[in-house]
Formats: sequence, structure tokens, C-alpha cells
Amino acid sequence: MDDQLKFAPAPEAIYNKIDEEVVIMSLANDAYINLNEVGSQIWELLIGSPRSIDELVLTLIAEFDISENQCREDVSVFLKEMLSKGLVVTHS
Amino acid sequence: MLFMYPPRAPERINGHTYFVHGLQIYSEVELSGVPKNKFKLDEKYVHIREGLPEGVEPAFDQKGGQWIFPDYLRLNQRGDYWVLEHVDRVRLYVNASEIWVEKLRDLEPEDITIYILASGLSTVLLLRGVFPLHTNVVVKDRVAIGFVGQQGAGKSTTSAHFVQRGWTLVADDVCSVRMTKDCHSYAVPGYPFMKLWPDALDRMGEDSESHPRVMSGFDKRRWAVDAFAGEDQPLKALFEVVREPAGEALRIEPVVGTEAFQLIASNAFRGPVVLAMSKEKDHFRFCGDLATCIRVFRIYRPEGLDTLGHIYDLVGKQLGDV
Repeated sequence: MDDQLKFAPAPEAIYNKIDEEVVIMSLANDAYINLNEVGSQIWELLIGSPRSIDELVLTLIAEFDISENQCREDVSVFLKEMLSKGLVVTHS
Repeated sequence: MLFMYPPRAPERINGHTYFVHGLQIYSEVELSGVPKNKFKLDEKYVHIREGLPEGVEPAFDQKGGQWIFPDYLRLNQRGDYWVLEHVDRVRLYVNASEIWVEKLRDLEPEDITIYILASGLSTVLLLRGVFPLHTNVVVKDRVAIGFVGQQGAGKSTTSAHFVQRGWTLVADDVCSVRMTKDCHSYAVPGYPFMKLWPDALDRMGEDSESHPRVMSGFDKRRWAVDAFAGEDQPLKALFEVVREPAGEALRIEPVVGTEAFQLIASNAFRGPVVLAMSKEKDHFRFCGDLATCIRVFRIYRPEGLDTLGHIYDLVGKQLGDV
């Protein structure tokens, strides 16, 4: 995945934040997706503004005790899954 | 726009007025077990009458639509009305201010009442942007709690036990919840009776045979409750009742975060109707807001009704933090 490509929440995805967790609903398929702590954090960063993998990784490794390589892999996997579910779009 | 048609004031006062789920009702069909209310109707009342809306042919061959409960309850649209058909029994034509009752066979008054109270009024609420929960709610000292759970889990039995212990009934089976912008939620009163199985009534020390059936051909009995809330009550918590095998420990655990959201969302009254009306987005927001504003717990209840007293005590302890 292009590390410079930016990502943003899909327009048809709506979300709720309950305590520190995020649940997202896709209007396209009526599915609810629960995000764990890291996923919720990534989602909130994307809500703020479109971000690239590099930008997400930089923010997350400053917050969490995780290596850059592991973080990059986790973020990539997360974004791929969210793309496949139509909850995230690429943003130019 | 909340209302499809501006309601007309009744031409003759030969019907009955009721106040259920926060709705003013003028009904030409008497609702069994629901106390009549004398009040001046405002422009938002719901008009209930027998027959068909103008322009709808009787006993039309309803094609299409979708099953809400297979072979039992079907939903369709006819013009400006949502049509809920209890197969071979009744069709209700519903918009935000009217319910028309088309009987498909001879029905007892209590049967029509239950169809109106459940399918009819819940649909009106949805059309007005209110998302009722499938829950029983009781209140004491301005702390209202709701019990949810799958059929047979014991939510009605548990809430009836609370009423016997001095709590006041707010709602049975269906409860409309009103929320304010500053995260206060209120349970809106329904009607002053509960629907209980005969064995539950007998175990409560009531003679089930002396209580009328909720519907003809259906075993549940109507248990009229004197202690009934006359106004909206602050909803503080929901308790999901989950059955466990005998021998497991009775316990209550908090449910937080997205799991609390899922619990609330899955206990929408007639969830499939919410989807059929394309109201899932608003429902999602409502459930998220409610999950943020109230506490949610899960009661793991081993088999055997003798756990009710212990449940009462455990719930009381949890409410100390609510």
C-alpha cells in the first residue's frame, strides 16, 4: 500500500463513540463494526483530517509503546480491512 | 416533517381518550385494560378507528412486503400508510397520526388491544422519530431501570418481582425513551398491566386462573398493576437477563463501550421495522447516545425462579453506583 496515499472515513459511514471505543455503521450494508482501542484511535485521527499511513504511524508510535514496523503493519492491515468494508476511502 | 397529515379534531366525542407511550390517543376502538384519560386533545393526537383508510380496497391481496416474524407479522406499504399484517387476524394501517384497524376475522377486544398497543403504537412512535426499546421498566425513588433479554430469559418475571417488592411499573414489553441534549434519559409510561405466564403468576402467589388472558388462544395473563408511573421517569440503567445452566453462580457484570451499544441496539422493539423504514441511521445515533448516558449491566441468572430475591439484592447493590 502506498504510504503517501491519504485515507478518510467513507461518507456513508457513521459512528458512535462510547467510553473510549468506537462503533461504526455502514449504511451500505447495515453492519456494525466495533473497533478496539487502537482502531478507535486510528478512526478518530482520520475523522480529524485525511491521513497517510506515515502520518498515522508517526502519531501512534508517539502515543503507544509499539515499534514503528509493527505499527506500520497493523495500520496497513486495519486500513485494508476498512477499505474492503467500504468504511474508509482513499483521499487525494 | 413529522406528520403525514394534519390530524383532524374528532367530529363527535364518542370514542375514548388514552395516554400511552407519551401519545395522546383518541380511539373509536376500546383498549382493554388501559385506563381512559380525560384530557383535551392537542394537534398531535393519534386517531384509532376501525375500517380502511380512504382509497384502500378491503382485503387486498398483499403482495410483496417483508416478514417481520415469518408467517406471523408482515410489513408492507399502501399509499401513505405502513401496513402491519398479523396473518389471518388483523391489518393495521399506520401513519404518524392514524391507525386503522382492519379485522380479517372475528377478534376479541383484548386481541385488538394488544395488536394496537404493540404493533400499532410502536410504528407510530417510529414514524415520529422515537425508537422504543423491547424492555420492562420499573422505578423507585426516581431511579428507573429496564430489563431486557431474549424470550424466556425472565425479564418480565424479574420486573414483576420488583413491582411486588414495592417498585412502580413504568412500562411492560415496549418502552419509549426520551433523551435530552444534556444526556438525561427518561422512560415514558406505557400501560398499567404486565403480561405474564401462568406459572410465573402462580409462583408470585397470584391465582393465574383469575387473571384474563392477554389474547385469545394465548396463555399469557394480564396482571393489572396499581402502582403505575403517571409521568416520565429518569432511566438510569438497563439490565440484560441471560439464562445460565443450574449450578452456575448468579452474578451481575457491567457492560461497557461498544458492547453496551450493541446490547441496546439489539433490543430495539421490532428492529426489522426500523430497517424496513430506513431509519437505521437515526436508530444508530439514538443507541449510541443512550449507551453514553445510562449504565448497562448483564445479569447471569441460573435456572430456577428462586434466584429472584438474590437478583433483587444484587441489582440494589449496583444501583448504589448509579
